[in-house]
Amino acid sequence: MNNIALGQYVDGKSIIHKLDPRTKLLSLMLLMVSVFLIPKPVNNSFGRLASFVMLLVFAVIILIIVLFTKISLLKYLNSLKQLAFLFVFTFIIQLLTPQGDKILIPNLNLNLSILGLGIILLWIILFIIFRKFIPCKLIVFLILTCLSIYLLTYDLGYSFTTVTLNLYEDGLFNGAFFFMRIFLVIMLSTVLTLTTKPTDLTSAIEWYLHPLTYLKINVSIFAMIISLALRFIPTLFNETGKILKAQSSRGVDFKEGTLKQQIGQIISLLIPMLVISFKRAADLADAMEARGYIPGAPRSKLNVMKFSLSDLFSFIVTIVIVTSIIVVSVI
Amino acid sequence: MKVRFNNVNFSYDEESVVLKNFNLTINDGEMVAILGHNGSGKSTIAKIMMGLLEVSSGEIYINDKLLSQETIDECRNHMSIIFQNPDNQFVGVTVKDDIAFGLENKNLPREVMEERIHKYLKLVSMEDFIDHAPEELSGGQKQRVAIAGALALECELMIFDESTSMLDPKGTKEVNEMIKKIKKENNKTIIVITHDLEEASYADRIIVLNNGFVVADGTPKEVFKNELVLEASGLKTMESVSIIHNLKNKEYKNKSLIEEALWELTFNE
Amino acid sequence: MGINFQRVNYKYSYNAPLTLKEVSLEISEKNEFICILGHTGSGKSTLVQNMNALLLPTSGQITVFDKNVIKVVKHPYKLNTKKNRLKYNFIDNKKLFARGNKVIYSSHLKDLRKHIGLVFQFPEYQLFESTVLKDVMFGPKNFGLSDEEARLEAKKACTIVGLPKDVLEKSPFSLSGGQMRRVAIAGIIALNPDVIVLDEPTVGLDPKGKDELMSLLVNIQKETSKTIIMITHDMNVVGKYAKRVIVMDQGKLVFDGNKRDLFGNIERLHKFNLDLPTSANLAVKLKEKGLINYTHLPLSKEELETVILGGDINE
Repeated sequence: MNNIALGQYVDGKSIIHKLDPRTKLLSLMLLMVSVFLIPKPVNNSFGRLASFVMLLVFAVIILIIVLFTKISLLKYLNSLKQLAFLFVFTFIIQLLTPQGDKILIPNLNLNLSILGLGIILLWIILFIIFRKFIPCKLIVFLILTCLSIYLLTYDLGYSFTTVTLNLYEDGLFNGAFFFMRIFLVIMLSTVLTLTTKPTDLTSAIEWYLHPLTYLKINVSIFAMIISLALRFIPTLFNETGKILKAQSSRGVDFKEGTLKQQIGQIISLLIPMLVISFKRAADLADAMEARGYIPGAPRSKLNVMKFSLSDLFSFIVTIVIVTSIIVVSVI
Repeated sequence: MKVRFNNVNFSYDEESVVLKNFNLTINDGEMVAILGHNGSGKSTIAKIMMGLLEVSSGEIYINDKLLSQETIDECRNHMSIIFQNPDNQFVGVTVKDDIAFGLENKNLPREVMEERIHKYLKLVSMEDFIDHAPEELSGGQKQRVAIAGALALECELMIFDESTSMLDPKGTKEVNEMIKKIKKENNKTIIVITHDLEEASYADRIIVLNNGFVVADGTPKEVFKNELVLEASGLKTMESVSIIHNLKNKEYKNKSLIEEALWELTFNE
Repeated sequence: MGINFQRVNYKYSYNAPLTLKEVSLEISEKNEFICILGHTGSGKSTLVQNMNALLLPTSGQITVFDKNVIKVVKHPYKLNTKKNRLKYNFIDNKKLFARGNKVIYSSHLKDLRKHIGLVFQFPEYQLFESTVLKDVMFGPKNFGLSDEEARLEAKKACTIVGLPKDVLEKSPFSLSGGQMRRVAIAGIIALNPDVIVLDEPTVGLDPKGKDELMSLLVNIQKETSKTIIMITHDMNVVGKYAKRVIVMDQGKLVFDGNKRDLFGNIERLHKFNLDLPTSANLAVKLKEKGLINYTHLPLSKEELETVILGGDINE
């Protein structure tokens, strides 16, 4: 309640945690890029095999990294879960796009009949109504989707049009390929967010943006803004909770009322939040100025990022992986 | 550290004047309490000194140096301030980062920073919380971190601007203990801005403000006796003093002894 | 009957420690002036937020004006898991149905908030309307009053809290801190609740503002004989005004009774981490020196003066 963890950072003492955030950021970025460098499965069995073997090797590498972080796999699954719809969506789109010449299932006739669509509509409505009570929403949704497609292949009569779909073999492979690709990229970014404190990430980004100072863009001010935001978001979040409760005691109920009333109720939350934020900002500006902060002036740093041996090692490993991917894909 | 206000005028807008022809001298090594009701202009004085507000007319001398746009950064180097709201002055994401903030601004090398952080966190007995986030600390603890941050700047003057008014009794006690400790151990000029007379009772000198005027200036004993002035300034004198005053014209057993004892108790806590 | 807690437990989330532990208490609907004491984190705020259903008990039963507050079961299909049984008191729920008690569902909690008005800490931060009057009207309008009725209630409330008439059309943000707080309190009084609960109403005010607010509350209590419950840290306030004192310590209700009982036992008081009021402290020290004598410990300045003059305190 009082502790809203910002970001997904999980405290730990693993090798991955201890890496310099700059190394981590760059290495993981490079790895992500190289995932995208893996060529799309070409239209022959060897090409396909090569692509999927590469993906598999990559998956193993990521699994090793994940095991090194010593964070439970559940945390990773959680962040994947949020994007599950994206996975399914890309897969289906790929499956239905005409590509290549081999057709897996030819002439899949979907009869758009009043009865069929009516049943599907009913399913959707029921799904939305009982959403709260359905365990494993996603699986139920998938089953329902498959069932609807299956249902549509039957001619229930009164159909006004028929859509003919072809499922291509390449589509199946490409779908699987894109599915894996997104999966790997998300795993990599999750490794980064789970093992790096938001503040460390900010300083790493600040370091990489350093060349911009030669263009007279003051990077340190942006870094200060981000770190202050990171500091105050939990505080303001708590504050919102308090205001919400205070207005609830004055009869605010966000669930009921006409639209006009609801707008009034949202204003009763927004204005106090604005007032509080401005007051905090003014106080904070005073406090920072009083402690000698001059925007843009040179400042020393307490937390200096150190490039250690393990950083060098992991960076070399990354480079090796990236180059081998490039070499293999060129061949 | 000497501070002198010379004929200072200040107002936020044209309607209300906060300070009018304000004169005040604070001497080196003194602990001064500035008392006044909310809106009496007492916090304004602190902000003017720190160069956070600009005066309409008049001069402020910090160590005989005129405070102006050019000298502001140098003058700030001699002073530090602890504000009212513990949350709004906590800049760092952790205790360590927060104390480092002021030191980083001064461009100090890392070793010096590390050393000072540990030294002053120990002084305020917060060394066990070095890696804690502000949300994990109580109000009193946050104020102690702010005090450590101010001490770490090693300046000669410390201002406590109602730094206990948002705390619970435990936090208030913690902060007041800290102020007493700093007064005793460090040779610093201290200004405590408050409306709590108990907090003011251990100062060397008390100044009472009302509507931008100094209405009383003297030792705690002198000021506390002046119940009418305090009352008129929206303040309440200490209970013990008030009892002496109320019963002045009445006869009771052991009168002189009780009066003496009550005076003693006023300053013994 | 006003508010009744029976073995109420509360925790903020499933694996958090209990913030309220087996709290049972009864507060009558009229003529009470209760101070709730306890240091930060003792569960005082959680306790009062349970009173007007901003928080719902993890287990136990809260009855407010003869209606029960019950948490609605959200995931019936998960009921058999151990986690869920702890989280939602389904069994109690059924029993209550069987007894034919009226049940307040979460959607009806608004009705309950009409009975119990809760003023939060630093309530001036909840102001948002363009004028003071409109802000005070906001609450009554939410509870279904027409504009006219709400205006009438709001004006009445503003008079009760002693806001001058010329302030009503001003923006609440142009007022001083003390006045803003009065506006916020008026916003609750305008709901005409049976019980007024205040969470540290005097914090941040200067001594004069504190005194004014306290005498205001005492006057409201005297004139309307509504029950007033307030959380406070100020022992002087307790010594002077409280009729009944409740002490919370680590989520448990450790004391419920007369203030003279509480302050009479100094050893126990220190165990609760509480102090004596200033005058009681003075009295103890004066007695130690043999200068005064009393049978009942004086708890306020006035009482101490009586004792010094040689009188005694009447109960």
